[in-house]
Amino acid sequence: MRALDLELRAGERAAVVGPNGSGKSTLVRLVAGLLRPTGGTLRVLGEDPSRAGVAFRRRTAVALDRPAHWEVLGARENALLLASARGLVREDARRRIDDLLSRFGLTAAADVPVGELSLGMRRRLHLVEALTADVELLVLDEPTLGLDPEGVLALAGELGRRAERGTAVLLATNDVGAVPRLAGRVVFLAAGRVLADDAPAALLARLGGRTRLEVTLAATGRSAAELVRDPPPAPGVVLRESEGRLVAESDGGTEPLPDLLRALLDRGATVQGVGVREPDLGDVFLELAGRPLGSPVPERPSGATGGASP
Amino acid sequence: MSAARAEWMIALRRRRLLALSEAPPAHAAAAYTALFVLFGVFGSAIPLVRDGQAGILTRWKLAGLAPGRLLSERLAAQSTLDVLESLPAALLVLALGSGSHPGALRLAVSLAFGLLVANAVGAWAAAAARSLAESALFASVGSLLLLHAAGVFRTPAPGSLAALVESLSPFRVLHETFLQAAGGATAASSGWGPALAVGAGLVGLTVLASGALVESLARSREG
Repeated sequence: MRALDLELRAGERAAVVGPNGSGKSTLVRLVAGLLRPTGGTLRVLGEDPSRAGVAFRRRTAVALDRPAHWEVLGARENALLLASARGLVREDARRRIDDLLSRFGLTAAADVPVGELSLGMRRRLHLVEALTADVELLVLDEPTLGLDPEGVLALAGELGRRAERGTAVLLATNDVGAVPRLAGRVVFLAAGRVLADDAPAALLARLGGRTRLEVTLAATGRSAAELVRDPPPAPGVVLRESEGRLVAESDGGTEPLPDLLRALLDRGATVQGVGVREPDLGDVFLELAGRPLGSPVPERPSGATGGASP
Repeated sequence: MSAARAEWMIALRRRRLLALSEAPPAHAAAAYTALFVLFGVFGSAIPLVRDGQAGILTRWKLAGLAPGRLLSERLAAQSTLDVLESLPAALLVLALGSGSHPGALRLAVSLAFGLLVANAVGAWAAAAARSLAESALFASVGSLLLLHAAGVFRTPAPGSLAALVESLSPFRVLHETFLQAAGGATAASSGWGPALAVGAGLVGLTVLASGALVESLARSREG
């Protein structure tokens, strides 16, 4: 990570978004105190997390990307054990856990040994465990991984309630589709650097509301790369190649589509398919980084600088 | 099959099926002590490495369980479970032993102390290891060296340095109990005080160093 400057306030929900290898999980581990920065300063709730004690741990809750459970114990038992480590009173913990198990659709699985649960159910249990205590900072790494849409909605609702009560939420994900539901702030990270840090709506506005017209060309026609080099086929349309497809961005919605298709056919292209899509955060990242969000970042020597403090 | 038949017939005629019951007392006591100590060391080391690799120890840490509390709770619980699991077998050794009867209570206390120390040794072996195989290796080598220091494999000459080391070795307590049960003569010694103190010190040191030990164990997951 390089030159990362990130400050998170109470009640704020920030999503760190970036491709694989961009430094999201490193940031989570730094904030959780599982890694130490090799340079710079890092303060979480005013403390150095790598040296923090029990009091700090009870002010934070962290769910790493890979859930770890006692497989022979039931879902509720797992959550209760971790709650007891946090110092929660058993009856209170049980009430909270049962409520969360219900919200995440796990009531029927409460007494089932975790070893018998599906990956998605284990992921939901992992979130239940992280959400059991009232904390000042909640850190979730890839919280939507393996979650169905219902699970994402449950998580979004719970994060919203926590934020209203003043909990700062930091989540790391590359599930850009879920981000607008989960967070009010998006931090785009690439190769350990912040590319952008803003509200989802503000980031989308950077694309000027341009509609994406996606045209798939047959292999026999002219390549998308060649067509991109030609002058624009229609006014207000910008052509770009993306993963072998021709992508036209239009300021005028779908209006230029007939002219675009006519121009492409005139230029010898064979059109296989046409799609119309409103821009999302993935497109914003593409605009900023010059490559799709899913593409991996080449490995760099690890190091860490920067600060994060709610 | 006649040789096997002969072995079975002799064992049944003597009404002694317990392994090593006819072995010389020193050999029988060495085998029993090594068996119970290795049971305790392995039972501590391997689950710790496994929990480190699975991320369980990291979860405890993130949940705010202090390493000292984590390790001391684990040592206490694992040692108790080890005693409950192994006490029936140890009592059988006592009941069928040909020596003077050291008493069930003394055996239980010796066994509990030996297994507590063995669990502490296992924690160190696990923390030094980077894999399950390495933890088994370190647990074996470490416990066999400590057993040797306790005079399990040889009787040190009185007044020698080895005799001094033996008097301080925590596994001596369990060894001498089994030796008495098997009919062997225990060394005239200054009592168990020093050995008990060293054993308690080792357990205390393990709890004091728990921060570094748990950090090392959890690192196997974090890479």
